[in-house]
Amino acid sequence: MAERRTLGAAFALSLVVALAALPHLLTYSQQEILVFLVINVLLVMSYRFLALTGEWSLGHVVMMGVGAYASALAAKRLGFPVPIAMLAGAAVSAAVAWVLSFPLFRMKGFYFLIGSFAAGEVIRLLWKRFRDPFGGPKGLKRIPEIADIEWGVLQVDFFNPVAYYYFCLAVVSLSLWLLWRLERSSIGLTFHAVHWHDGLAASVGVDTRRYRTLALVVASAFAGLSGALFAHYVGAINPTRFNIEEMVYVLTWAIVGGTATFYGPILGVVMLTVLNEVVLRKMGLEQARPLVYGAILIAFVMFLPRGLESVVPRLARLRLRRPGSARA
Amino acid sequence: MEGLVKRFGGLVAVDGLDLSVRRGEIRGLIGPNGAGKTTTFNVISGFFAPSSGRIVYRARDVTGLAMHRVAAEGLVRTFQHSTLFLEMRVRDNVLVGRHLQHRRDLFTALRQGGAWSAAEDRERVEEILAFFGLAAYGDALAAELPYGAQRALGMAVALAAEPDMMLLDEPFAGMNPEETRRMMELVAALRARGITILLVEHDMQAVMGLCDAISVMNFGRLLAEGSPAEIRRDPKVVEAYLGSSHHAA
Repeated sequence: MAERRTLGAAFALSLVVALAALPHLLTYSQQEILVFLVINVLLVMSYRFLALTGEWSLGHVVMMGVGAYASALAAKRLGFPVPIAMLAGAAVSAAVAWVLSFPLFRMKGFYFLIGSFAAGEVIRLLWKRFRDPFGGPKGLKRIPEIADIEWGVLQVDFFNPVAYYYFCLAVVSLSLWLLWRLERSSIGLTFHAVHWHDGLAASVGVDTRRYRTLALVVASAFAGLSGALFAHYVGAINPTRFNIEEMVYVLTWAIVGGTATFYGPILGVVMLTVLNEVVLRKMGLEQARPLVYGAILIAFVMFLPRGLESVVPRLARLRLRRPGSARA
Repeated sequence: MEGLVKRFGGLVAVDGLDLSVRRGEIRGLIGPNGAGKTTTFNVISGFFAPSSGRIVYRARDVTGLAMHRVAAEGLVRTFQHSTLFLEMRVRDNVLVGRHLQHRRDLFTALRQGGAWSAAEDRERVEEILAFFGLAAYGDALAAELPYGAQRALGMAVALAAEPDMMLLDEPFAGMNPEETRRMMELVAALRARGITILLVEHDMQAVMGLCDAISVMNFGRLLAEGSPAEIRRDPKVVEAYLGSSHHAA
């Protein structure tokens, strides 16, 4: 037990060091990709939180967009300081999700999936239709970035990807910690119960509708936060950025990684981003990204339906079987 | 329960049923296939809303309440077959049953994290597992249990909600005689804890041996009501089950 704890602490420490050192080993454009990767980790993890109740949405990227638009407008029009605007973005996302939950949770399963897609498209059309305040098809530009920090020796320019990476890393780590706490609480157990048998859950007093709503609202809040992180870094957003194609990428990350464990979707998004940015880009095949993702998705559903996460315990067992290697 | 009616389109599944269950008794609800037993059951537990009629439980009108609200009133049902959280551990199945015993909001959950059930809940869950003879299975997945144990677990989940009354949906279905005998003991033991029981069942022997009173349904109506001995002698009941006497003769 004590040995396991030491191992865990060593692993956590090396993870922190690796994450802190990582941007300094990369080129400028790779640093930018790293920022997006961290934001996408939050997006796909919030998606998994919703999936805990067994519902899969096709509107999740739109909820990210709601947070992005709300945060951008709060900073641009209302003059909120950017960090406050980001929280406001998450709150608006949660509120929109709460309103949508009333029609959407009259459905479940496949019908919910289609319903969430339709609801998302309605929101996207509203962005396109209303030039004021959403900027129409061209979206919002010149979204303020986080104000530079100049406290004596400490000078941070958040336009610099390394600085923004550290900021995102802190926000996302805190968010993941909150999601982890929730999942491990009685609420998380109730989510699982609603997933595996909502009738049985209801028979012992679980208000299944309320718990589905809770999952949707919390998941959307964090998706909205990821959208806000995105908006204030890129500086421009438009309705196309949050369309169904992006949603399919999120689904692919979740399915390739697996959603049964907490680390599954992180594995998925990291592996596919590395594949996309390193392998495909090197080979000049970025244009083929949807094709490659589609092929990967089909391959995983057919041959590894429980995702990359299901490989991890098998690898661990292999290592243990080889004498001496376990402690190396 | 008064004048309960449930229609599905043109089909009247339950047609003006009156039924009252006394506190602390084991009441059996029997009848030939298609008599409307299960529908009655689903209406009482809030799975369906009745087309008309009233359900009163402990002087409170629970007609048409959603299932989780009925459960909160202390009226908890079980399901047929192995209706469980099959992919969850046995212990967690019972823990879900404790749902009504918790304060649950986001901030409490965040503060408690994984430590939420450490105290009296764990104790109660172990006690319930022991009561149903499931103590050895705590860490197993519900799907891995033998059939009889799965049925017992279904009742354990319900008992964890601390009901005053349990509705058991065919508790003996598909059981071998040994499992049936075990289950009869469990139902009797539940009653000994002060829980009122209404059960729907096909197994005549078990019903006759266990129930204080029996209600017989046929074609959506109440056909007869009385003690097991009275029901066994009642010509209407015999006719409903075996066909009318001059056909049989």
